[in-house]
Amino acid sequence: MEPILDPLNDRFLKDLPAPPGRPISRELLYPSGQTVPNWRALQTHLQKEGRVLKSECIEIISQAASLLMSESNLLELVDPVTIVGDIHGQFYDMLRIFDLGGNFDSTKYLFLGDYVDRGSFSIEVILLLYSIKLNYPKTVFLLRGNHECRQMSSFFNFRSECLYKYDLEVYDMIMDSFDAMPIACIVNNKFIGVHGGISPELVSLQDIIDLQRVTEPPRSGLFCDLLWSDPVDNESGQCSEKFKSNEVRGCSFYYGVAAINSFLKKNKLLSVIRAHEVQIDGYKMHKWNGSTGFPVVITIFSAPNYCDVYNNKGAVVKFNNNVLNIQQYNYTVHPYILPNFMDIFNWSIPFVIEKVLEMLYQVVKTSDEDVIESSDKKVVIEYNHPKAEIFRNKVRAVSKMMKMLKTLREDKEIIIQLKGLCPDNRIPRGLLQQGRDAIIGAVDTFNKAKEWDLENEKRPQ
Amino acid sequence: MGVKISQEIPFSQEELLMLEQRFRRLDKDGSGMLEPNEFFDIPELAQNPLVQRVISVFDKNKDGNISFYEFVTGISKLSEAGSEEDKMRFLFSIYDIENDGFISNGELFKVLKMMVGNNLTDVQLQQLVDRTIIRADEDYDGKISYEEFCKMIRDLEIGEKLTLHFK
Repeated sequence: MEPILDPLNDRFLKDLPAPPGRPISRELLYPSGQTVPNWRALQTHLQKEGRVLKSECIEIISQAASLLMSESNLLELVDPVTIVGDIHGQFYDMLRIFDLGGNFDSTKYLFLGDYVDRGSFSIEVILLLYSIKLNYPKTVFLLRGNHECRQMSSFFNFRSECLYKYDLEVYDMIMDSFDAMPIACIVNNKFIGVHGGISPELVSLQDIIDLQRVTEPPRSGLFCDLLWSDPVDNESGQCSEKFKSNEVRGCSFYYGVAAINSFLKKNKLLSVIRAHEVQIDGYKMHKWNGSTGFPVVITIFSAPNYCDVYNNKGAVVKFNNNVLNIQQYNYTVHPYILPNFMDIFNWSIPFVIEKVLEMLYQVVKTSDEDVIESSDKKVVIEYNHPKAEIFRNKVRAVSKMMKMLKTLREDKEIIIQLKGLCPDNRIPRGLLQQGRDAIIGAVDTFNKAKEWDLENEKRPQ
Repeated sequence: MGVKISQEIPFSQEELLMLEQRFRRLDKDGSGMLEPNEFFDIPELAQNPLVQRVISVFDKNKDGNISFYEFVTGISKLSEAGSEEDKMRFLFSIYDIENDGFISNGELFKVLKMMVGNNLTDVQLQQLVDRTIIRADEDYDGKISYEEFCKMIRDLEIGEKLTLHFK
């Protein structure tokens, strides 16, 4: 697709590729009557920030939803497979994952969920992933994460991204497609891939198969736990109870070594591969059976520099010949976006108004010794002359207007000096601003970001 | 110098005289016109990045200076008597540097750069400009017309905000 026109040839950064001027054409997306989208053309187009018409978008979503619906709650795979953790709208990092993870013709992929929210390109992530899924129905698999639901995506920024780029109809269709996603996957008969983890109600794998999955995930119970639970956060997996109440999440549980071991033993599995928690290295091996034992839980997190502030690496699992490898990577620069996708006019006009009024105020304001002269006579306006007062009032009104606008502007103002401003506006700005000065070193950044973001790990009320 | 009060100008005789007084105060060289440096000399305007743009918009005959008539007309359009369209046209003109009725990619970049300075890199600013044009540009001609501009900012209530309220 052609880049946007530059009719006056005055585009400033000529070397920076311009986005496509028009949405991707039908012919390019579905060449010669193909029934599945041309995912390579779509990828190139989206990577350049091209748009997709609503009609094409709906077609991709509904086709993918039908396909997902036809799958079981519990999938089965054998290696070679690349296992991917949270992506969270980080489309440009997802492209890196495809480069590192292997090409789709020769590698299987298992995605563990959390495709949307936090990052600003969730729509692009969904459109491309669904298109790839449609092209590789038997080798690419998408599991559901805790963010793939109405509650989370409306509390965080995916719903507003949908409304900005499309409308409520598209949002609702995507929510329905999330309802269709399978929940877990057995790999090589030895590993279970799932977004969050295990559950007190998970005794055997049959419990997963028996779930009614085509629904908004409930606030408690097996379905909730599979998407929400976390391994307990210590070296040995020690836990006062088998399953401890999870206050960080405000729902579900922590599982400890006792819970994990009994589940793995009963179901003849080696390990749980899950995502759900950001990791500074992009992954974590929970070696609860001693340092020489195989980790009973592996956390994989595939969104590097999460929220533009955590400064973490991303990682994927590459599973081949029964050998598990971790591939790490740093973040990829993405196009600059103002929060809430604000355009340049809505962003700058409050400032323009303020500066214009400020200038006019300076130009028309009077001082006490003003003398009104006309060509006919000199009229000295004393300080308490009624007309002078009226005029002064009018000028005062201008300055009041400016003060009001200043506040208005601060409401709309994006703190652009803060290069690391979190894209979904959820890490409290004040803290971030303070913290930025104090930060030294990546670990410090990561821990501080995690601390401030803690509220956002909780399930909304 | 007598000033004819025409119907569009919402100022009374006294107010016009006061504006004339202000004008003469600013007109340091007594030329009868306000040259740009007579604005730039006002210390409080030293940090205001839009002074030249406002001058250019007020300067209807494009002679580089502001006559008293241009001064009063410009201010009156932004007063209560000015219509919503007067204000929208004013704002549009701030961005339309070449005054050709369209805001081009390069013009939008330039005006934003005046305001943003070094708070954004050129790449970031160019990305915002490109994306805004794509969003606003309904006829795919790569530039923004007055109508496309108005549509983008219809929620901002410019009429109220860009008004000098007079009792």
